[in-house]
Amino acid sequence: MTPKPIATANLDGTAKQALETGRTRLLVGGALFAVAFSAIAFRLADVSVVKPAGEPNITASRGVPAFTAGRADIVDRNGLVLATSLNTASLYANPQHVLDAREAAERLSRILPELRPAELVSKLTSGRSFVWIKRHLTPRQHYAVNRLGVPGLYFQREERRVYPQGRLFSHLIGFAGTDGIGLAGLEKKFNDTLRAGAKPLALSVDSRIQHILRQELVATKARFRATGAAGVVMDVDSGEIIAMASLPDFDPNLPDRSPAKARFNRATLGVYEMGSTFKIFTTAMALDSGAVRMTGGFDASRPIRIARFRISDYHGKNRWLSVPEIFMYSSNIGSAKMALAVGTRAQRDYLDRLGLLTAPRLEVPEVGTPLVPARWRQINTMTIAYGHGIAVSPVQIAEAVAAVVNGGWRRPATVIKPLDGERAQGRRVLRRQTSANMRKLLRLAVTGGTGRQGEAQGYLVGGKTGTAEKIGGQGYRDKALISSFVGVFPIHAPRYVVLVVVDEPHGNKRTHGYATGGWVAAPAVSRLISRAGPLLGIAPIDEDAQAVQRALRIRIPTAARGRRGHDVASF
Amino acid sequence: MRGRVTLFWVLLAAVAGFGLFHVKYRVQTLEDDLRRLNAAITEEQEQLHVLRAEWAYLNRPDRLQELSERHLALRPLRAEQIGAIDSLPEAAAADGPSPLRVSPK
Repeated sequence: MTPKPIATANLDGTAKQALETGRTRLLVGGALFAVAFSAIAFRLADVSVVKPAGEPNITASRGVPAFTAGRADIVDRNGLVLATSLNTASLYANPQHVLDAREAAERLSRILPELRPAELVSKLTSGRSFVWIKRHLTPRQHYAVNRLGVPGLYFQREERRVYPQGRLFSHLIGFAGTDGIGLAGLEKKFNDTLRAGAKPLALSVDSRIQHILRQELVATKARFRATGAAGVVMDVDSGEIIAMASLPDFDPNLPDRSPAKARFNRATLGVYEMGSTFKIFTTAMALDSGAVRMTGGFDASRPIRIARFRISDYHGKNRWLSVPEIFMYSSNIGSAKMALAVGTRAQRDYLDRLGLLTAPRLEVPEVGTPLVPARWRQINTMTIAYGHGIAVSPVQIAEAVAAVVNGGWRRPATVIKPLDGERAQGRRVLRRQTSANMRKLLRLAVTGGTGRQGEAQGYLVGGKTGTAEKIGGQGYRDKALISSFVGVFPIHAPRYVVLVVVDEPHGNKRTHGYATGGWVAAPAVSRLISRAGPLLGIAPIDEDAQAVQRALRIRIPTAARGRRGHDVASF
Repeated sequence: MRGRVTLFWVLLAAVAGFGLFHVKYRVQTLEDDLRRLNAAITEEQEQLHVLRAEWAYLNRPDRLQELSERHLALRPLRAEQIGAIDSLPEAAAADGPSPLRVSPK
């Protein structure tokens, strides 16, 4: 290690030693640097020459920052926007920066005519440093104000929930408050999902059908001076709700402007005694349990007296009635006897399976719990047979009727569009044969019974009317009715169930004073089906086609026990 | 000889330095462009969003119905107006002009 002395001649001992030390240090330092540099050189070559494939030559795109406008949209089944969040500009002023308040006020009021110039002047001369002029300008107003170039006017970005369809979906979608929190309807139920701001929430409803439904309800409510109305259109196979409306309604863009009463969703939250519509379920359970056959019947010649009640018929025939006749003429006596034949326990089981005894699992938060008797006695069995003494919501009726006609499968009603190919698991609640017989009976009630006005040319409607007296202060009130009609079309191979319920309708001259389901609700359903049929892609049905005739042929035994019956092809 | 080697290295260092800064500035310009484009895209997306809302608003069924009643002679389709191809008389298809070509009177 000791370096060789080069020039030592003229140096004495100490100097020489110092030089030696210096040399050694230099060498050590030099060697260290040499090592460091060669390491760097090696690494440099390694990174740049030897393996350039280790890193990509071009950095990956970081992608375009996705645009989010706060709450996610809500769209209908066809993707039409029903609720969206817009970033709006709110106009405020700093009066200290305003040069000519009078002129600014005048030019502003030309763009925003709802603001009065005098008020604006006082705002702009207030001497404060912040004053709101108008919240949530439209894009056009924003542009116009910007173009004015008035100093001292500024914009604040704010988010606003907008419902382009206005009143069309008021109850179903509900609304969100100014702070972006859902306060009612689906906005409330899906608040967290919507706030996460991911994909739009796709509903099962169809805006076009919803429009038709709402329009018919509005017309019916006005024509019969009713206090309210509700309607449901549902796919019988999937349980998807295609349209659902309740009147009176409100504008979700301005929820504060309507009375709290208008927020009540009659289609899901309201529970009503539905009257004869319930005979669908009574007859179905009687046929399904084998308590009676299609050719069977009951004596309906005189009213039933039980305890202090008297059960009588509205369209009384005063004779023995077969099952189809009981259904067609909507006989309370016959239905009550039919329910007795089924038995109290079985009746309760069937109603439970049809989902009529518990609150439905619908996605809206406003879901009514049915009112059922605490103690189910014989008298309850008899009144429930024709829809009194039990109160359920319209959406429950639609769901249960769908199960009766679709071959016996109950699927929970839903307002959310299922993913492609996904179908809710069904539960069998009735036998196939029962369902086929019920379709015949429902058709019969329209062709020959109380639901004649529910027919829609070409769409083979089957259905049942219902008229119930509302419970008043003391017992039932005669004049206050709940009139309803539930229609199914096309009845030989059901696709949709339509329910219209009208709250407290009043008869008029055209209905000869009647305000029953057949006069009030059935025509509305008929018009709805005629208008919606083409939109729902249902080809008009040839009533004379053999398959249709075979599906709906029914034998009505008239006299005693059906020995001398006659065939009726029911259309 | 020594001088030339030094000059070579000095020149090399200068070229490398120039190259480095050149690349750096170009990257910076590109980054700026990217930021600007991203901002523009976001703005366009926001405008699309507003336009979609307006589209939905203008396509309200009640408004369309009113406009159609006022300006068009269209009426809701009735079931009687829908027919099947099979129900057309056969003679028309076999002979004479195609039924699709016949102009309405």
